[in-house]
Amino acid sequence: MLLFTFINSLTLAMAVFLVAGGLTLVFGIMRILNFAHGAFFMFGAYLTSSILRDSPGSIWALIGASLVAAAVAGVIGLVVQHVVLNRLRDVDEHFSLIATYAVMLMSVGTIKLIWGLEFHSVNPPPELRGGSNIFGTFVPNFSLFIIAAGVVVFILLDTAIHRAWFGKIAIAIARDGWTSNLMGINSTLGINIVVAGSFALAGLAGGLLLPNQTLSPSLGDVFLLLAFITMVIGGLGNIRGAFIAALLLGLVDGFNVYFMPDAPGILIYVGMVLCLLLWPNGLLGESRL
Amino acid sequence: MLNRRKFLATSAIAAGSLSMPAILRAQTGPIQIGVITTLTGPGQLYGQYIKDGCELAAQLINARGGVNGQPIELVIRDDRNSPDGALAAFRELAGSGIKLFAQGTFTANVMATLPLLEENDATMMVVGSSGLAITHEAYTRNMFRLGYSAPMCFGGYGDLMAGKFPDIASWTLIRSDVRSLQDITDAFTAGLQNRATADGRTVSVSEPILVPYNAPDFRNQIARVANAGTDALFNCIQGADGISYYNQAQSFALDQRFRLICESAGELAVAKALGRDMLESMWSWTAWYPAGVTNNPISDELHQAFIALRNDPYPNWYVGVAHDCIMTLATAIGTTQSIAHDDLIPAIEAQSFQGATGNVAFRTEDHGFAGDLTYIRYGKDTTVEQGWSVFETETIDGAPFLERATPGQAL
Repeated sequence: MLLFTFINSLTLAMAVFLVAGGLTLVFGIMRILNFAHGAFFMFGAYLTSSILRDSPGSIWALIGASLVAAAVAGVIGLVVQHVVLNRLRDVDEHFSLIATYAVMLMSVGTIKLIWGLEFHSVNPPPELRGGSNIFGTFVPNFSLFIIAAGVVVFILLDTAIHRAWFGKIAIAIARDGWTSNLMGINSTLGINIVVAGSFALAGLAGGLLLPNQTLSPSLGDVFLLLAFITMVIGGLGNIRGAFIAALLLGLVDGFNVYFMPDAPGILIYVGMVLCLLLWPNGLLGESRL
Repeated sequence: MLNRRKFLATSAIAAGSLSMPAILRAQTGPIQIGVITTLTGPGQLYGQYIKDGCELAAQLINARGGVNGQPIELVIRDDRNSPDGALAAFRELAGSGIKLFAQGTFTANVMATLPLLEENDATMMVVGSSGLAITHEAYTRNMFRLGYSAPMCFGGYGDLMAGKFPDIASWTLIRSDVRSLQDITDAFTAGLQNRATADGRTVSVSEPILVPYNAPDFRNQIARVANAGTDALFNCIQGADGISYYNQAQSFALDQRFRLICESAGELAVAKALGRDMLESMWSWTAWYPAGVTNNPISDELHQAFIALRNDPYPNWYVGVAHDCIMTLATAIGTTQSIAHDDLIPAIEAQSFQGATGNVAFRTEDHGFAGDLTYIRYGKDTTVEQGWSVFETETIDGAPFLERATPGQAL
């Protein structure tokens, strides 16, 4: 049971990181707490379900449909960036909070209009339906898939931001857009690409986690709160911090379930308070990517 | 030209009409019923069912000629899923002269309006809300609750299961960490044990395994359920959480590990969401399963109207309950020819009629619903396209399971 709890803690951690990754990215580049992120996560899940119907034929069908949902979410994100966020770059952060909240309400309303209010669910692909025996412990295959997806997304993001040339350009824009412009970098284009990537990550997370969840208009809320907690604990705008915080969050929740089963979910909030008292700027500090 | 004689005549007519009983003034137009329900935020799904049920009731009653020749007109307001929103909606409707109300979904929102009913001469039907406080510490005589208290609904459920499956000796319970669901598991446990004791048996019931409300992952708790080693399982995780729970439990094959699985109130929503991956067989409470109802033309008529409206043959139980709330008011108005609460309250207390959900009657002491209870067994069925079917229906009288009446006091 202890091993199962540990593996399930990793599952929760990576599921939350998949959502928190995009949220961290957009904060890193634009200093915006994007309340609409949960709605785009939900949009990705709904769109993937429309592509797959009741059940994906294979694991590749699930990944492919999720990538399509990510692309569509990214394009819509660009529109949101152009119409809303771009206009709020030089105003107080509170205005952008309200604006993203409004985008969230509009997005959720649109999802309700398109897909309705009823609950739906999509099954995992055949390869991921059963379980595997790990050191005598039964572990659902879909849990292993989520863990793998979270790790892969983290490695890709971390490499893109800290190793690749375009990541370094994004960091430069995030830290000093005016000087970047002087150096001949098209900072507006760079910001647009990162914001689109952030929205795309939300859509991708929605698609990949779809067989794990219930499609309902409140789906985004379930993950958004945990993703915000992860981002705050890790350090605003810090991808590595978000990854470590997600792991901590998962482990704390597992510890809670194992040792305090009569008070489920409570230690996450206690842990968040403790972390903020000890590290007010997050575990790895606030960062501009 | 206004002379003294005309002035006196006009004044007499005006004074007379103002002093007339509500009955006569009401005859001048449609009978207005204010419907306050949740049309935004969490709970919107259920609020939409309530709206559908009320609107279909009005449509069907009006198609039969209305009440004493007057049509029913619904004035629908959103409670914005908050007590404040419910209060604002009630004040607006009461301020416009509406005396008849139907309100649901959540108990907290209903509790906000109950204290205002008497001073506004209002009569209210509470649609589905199950909190005990409504008919106990927050009781007001102007309210009738067409909803299912946990002791009645789930006490009856436990009694039914213990009687139907005498060889089941041990149960595992799992529920969300929410107070109202604790009432449900307590009532179910009491129903099981009371019946077993009466039959000279013993049944062991575990302490409920708790899951956080609105959580993304339930696998840790599912693993504990799967390793419980009992004969039967009672699931009390509701709404979207409940569907996610069954979704994540698929790889644990719960239906292979337990001889009997009971779902609290997920009824057809679980089957519709899981489709072909529905569990082999399980029970659930429901307030209205029209396909299982026989010899009830009201239910049949509402079912057909719902299919025409939503193109869905499997309506949620709230539709039937909301319909019966409007029908309760219409029946009482038809009998008394009045919309005044002093006339309607005794009429509703005395009446008993066949609604879509079965026999509709209220306990005089606390105006709690004392009608029929329905339970369905349903599960995977590969012979039909949707992948699931309802296999059997059980209907029992709810009155014997009602909790003790303590109007004005906590139970």
